[in-house]
Amino acid sequence: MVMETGMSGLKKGGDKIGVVDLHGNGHLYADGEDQYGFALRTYLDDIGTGVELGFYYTQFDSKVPYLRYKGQRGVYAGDLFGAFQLAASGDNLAARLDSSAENFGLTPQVTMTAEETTALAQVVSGLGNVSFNSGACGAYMNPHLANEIYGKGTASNFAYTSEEKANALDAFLYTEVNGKLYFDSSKCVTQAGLHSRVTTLQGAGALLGAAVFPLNIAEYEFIYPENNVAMGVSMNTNIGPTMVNAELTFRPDFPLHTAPTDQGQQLSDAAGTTMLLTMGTIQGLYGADNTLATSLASYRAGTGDLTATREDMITAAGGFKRSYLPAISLQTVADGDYYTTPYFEYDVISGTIGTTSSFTASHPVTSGLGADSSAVITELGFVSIPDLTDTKPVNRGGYRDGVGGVKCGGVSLAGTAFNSVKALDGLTHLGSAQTDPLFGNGSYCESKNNADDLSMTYRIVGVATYNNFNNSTWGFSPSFVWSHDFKGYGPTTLGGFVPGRQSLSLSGNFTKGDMRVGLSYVNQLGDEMDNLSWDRDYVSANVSYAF
Amino acid sequence: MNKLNLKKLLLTFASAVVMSSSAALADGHVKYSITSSNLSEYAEMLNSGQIQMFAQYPDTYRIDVSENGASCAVDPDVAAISQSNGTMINDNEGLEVPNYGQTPFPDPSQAQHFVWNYRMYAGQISAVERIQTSTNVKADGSITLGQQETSISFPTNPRTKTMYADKNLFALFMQKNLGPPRTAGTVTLVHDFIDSYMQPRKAWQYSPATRRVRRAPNISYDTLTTAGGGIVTVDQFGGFNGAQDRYDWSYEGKQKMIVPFMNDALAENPIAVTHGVGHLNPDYVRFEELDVHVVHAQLSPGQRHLYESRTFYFLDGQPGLLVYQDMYDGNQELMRTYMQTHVQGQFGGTGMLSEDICNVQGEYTFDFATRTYSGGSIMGPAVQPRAPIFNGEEKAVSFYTPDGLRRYAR
Repeated sequence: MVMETGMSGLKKGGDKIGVVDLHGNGHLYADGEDQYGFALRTYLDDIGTGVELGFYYTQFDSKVPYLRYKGQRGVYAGDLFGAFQLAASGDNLAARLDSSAENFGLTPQVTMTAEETTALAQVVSGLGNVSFNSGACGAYMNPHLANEIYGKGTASNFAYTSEEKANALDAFLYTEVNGKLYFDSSKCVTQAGLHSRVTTLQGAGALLGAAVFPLNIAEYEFIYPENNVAMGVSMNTNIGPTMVNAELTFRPDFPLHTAPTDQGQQLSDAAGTTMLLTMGTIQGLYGADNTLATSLASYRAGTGDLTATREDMITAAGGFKRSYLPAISLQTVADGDYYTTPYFEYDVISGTIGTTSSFTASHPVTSGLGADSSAVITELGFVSIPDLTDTKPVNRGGYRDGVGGVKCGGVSLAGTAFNSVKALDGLTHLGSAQTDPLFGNGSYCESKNNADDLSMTYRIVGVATYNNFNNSTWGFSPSFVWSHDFKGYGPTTLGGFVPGRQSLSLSGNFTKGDMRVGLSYVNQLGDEMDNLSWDRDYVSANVSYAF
Repeated sequence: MNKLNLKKLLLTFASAVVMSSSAALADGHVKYSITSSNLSEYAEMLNSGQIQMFAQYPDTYRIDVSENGASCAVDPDVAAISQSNGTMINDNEGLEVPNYGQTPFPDPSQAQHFVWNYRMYAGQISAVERIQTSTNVKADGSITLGQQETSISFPTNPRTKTMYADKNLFALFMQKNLGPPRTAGTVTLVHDFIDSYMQPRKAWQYSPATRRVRRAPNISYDTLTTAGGGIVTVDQFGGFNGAQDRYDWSYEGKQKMIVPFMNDALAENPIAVTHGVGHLNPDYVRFEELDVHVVHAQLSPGQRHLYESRTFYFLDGQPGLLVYQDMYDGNQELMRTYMQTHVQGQFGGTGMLSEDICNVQGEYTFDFATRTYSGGSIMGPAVQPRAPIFNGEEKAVSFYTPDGLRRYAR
């Protein structure tokens, strides 16, 4: 079954996300059994103007999908890297192994058989496809190619804007076919030769291929947690001319979705991708400064362990997990296909309280508007997760880029603030996903990774009705809806409120008999980081005929 | 039944032979017709609303006045216990009567006596099941039809079997909108009380959009009705209902007036025929000269209502039916006029104790500013999809509860 997702168009077997191909495994629907509910309602005549009370209990299967990843049994990035690394050295494998041994203070004494040499040659030619692909070539060639055009005299990645680098890649690595540009790996081979980047690209290809391969063969699927329970109480009554209604719902052990990015990192952690990328970084740093002084200073400051050694830090970095989700052991990976953590179960309390006030023709509000009738509706909603902890974070609403919070600081716990010189970020925030040379995002990290234990929103709706508007045969009914999330991030599973998100909707409806014509304008307000729809103001028009 | 069929036959015959002739004329009893040209001769016998109708529609409006015919009987069980006047209590918002369920003031002498008698008149039946029709007629003559399935129980009626602990309860009302499509499925439940000081009206509404039952904060006073096209207030439904506390009431005497009466022609012809542009087709509205009591309501200081004042015209004697109501705005301008039509009998239905008892055929509100009008509670063999049941088995108490509303609505 082919799954359409909200990502990009379908290509090959899966969806291309950066350098990773994602394969969908479809939906694993709930069995639909053991779903039931009951409600008790009563009317208390003697309280105020009469209070309606309802109690309900329901057990149901989730109607919304929860995403999870399925990792392949026994596929481990470190193993692959070892193989690729050896292969990349080709004929010089023996010399390379000797050199590595020498670097770690061992005696070099490696020899190879003829069969080994032949086999390696075949692997090398296969690896070339990885080495000179668009991902590796783009990542490792762009400053050199940009320098060709812009002539700044440096091959530093940070000397060029992303537009400059994109122009350079387009100019040097792409071929036009039928008016469209396509990546041309033969050009990459040529350019890599010119700029002496072949070995780098082969190394990168090995690292990239090894790191990405476990993710490439992982699958994503959607599951529907079963037998969720919700119980609640609802009431409504009249206070003067206002109807007041309230609902309180308790969901024991309710599955709250974890962040897909957190699950992705959990998969990377389990499949050795994290460790490989981190060690790849350390290897690079080691080459520049074998004391790793900058990183170690940051590590000591962040962890408070002022006597930590370089080796302590490297050991810690090797075990560093980029995800908050429970670590999946190597044993689990070895034993069989494994899953990331799609949700955590928490006790959730949610509720709403609302009012409806309608104003008659003679009420000052209505007569002030010159209308025939008017009404104001308010609603306040909240979601509370009393036991929510940062070690079991759930997906929250609003903008996020990768896994945030203390994981931003990498193994050094260096915090969410980065350096004014970008090149230092990888050193000070060693191991963090955001500073990763392959998957990093240019060091942007959200301090807020988790939802809040309390999130709230409110809505205010106002509507007025003008019958026989302007003595015409049409009725006119203008209205506004103001919504504002004012406190806390809500879990995406319930509400997904984002503090600061605001929107204002203005509508006008004209009615004649069974015909209605309406126009509405929705203005998204608030900070663009809070309100992901901030640039999606829209106007909509509708015509409806009831029959 | 026979009488109705005979009339039908006559009507069919008449319209077949003389296409242009009016139904009322076909009955052969029209004494005289009033048009805008001879209006001044009859102005003294007309209310402001009817005079304004001539001013607004001088070329098409007409009143055909017939010889007086039958009169309305009262329910014998209610009449039997209605021997002497009760008294108004709680600032005239409540009643103390010698016999529970009686006509409150068999011998009315004050303005509010007429209002009370009229309000309680609906309780002359124990229960009713009916589908009534509503109309909204725009200035261009386009008609929006509505239908409401209605169940009402009147606990005060002597024949009511269900025992209700609350003796202040006057009516239990459930109404499901069958149309127009825009409002179809909306169901309203009302508990109406005799003394609204003791207990204000309670109302609930089921909205098919939300699939929920909610307390409706104010289905009373000048809130607009769902079916009334924006020109009918809730307290004007049925002529007058609910609390009288927003007005100061005065009695303005008895006089002979030209009023709609015995309007079988409206009941026996389809809406498309009886409803014209701006007003009902005069061919189908029968009028008589009858004695009416004029009662004026003036908004009390400090109170609010869309209608600054209103004048009611009640028929003399029992059951004291309402025939007209003129409604004035804050500038003392005539804003709307209301007309109620009646028939003797039960529209082909069952359960009335006598065919001489009268029923409301329809109530019509005319808005002068917008030249629109709205018909409500329209009954008649040519209009209703099924015959009404009067004094039938009362719906269970649980039917008239928010839960009953929920069950009935879904």
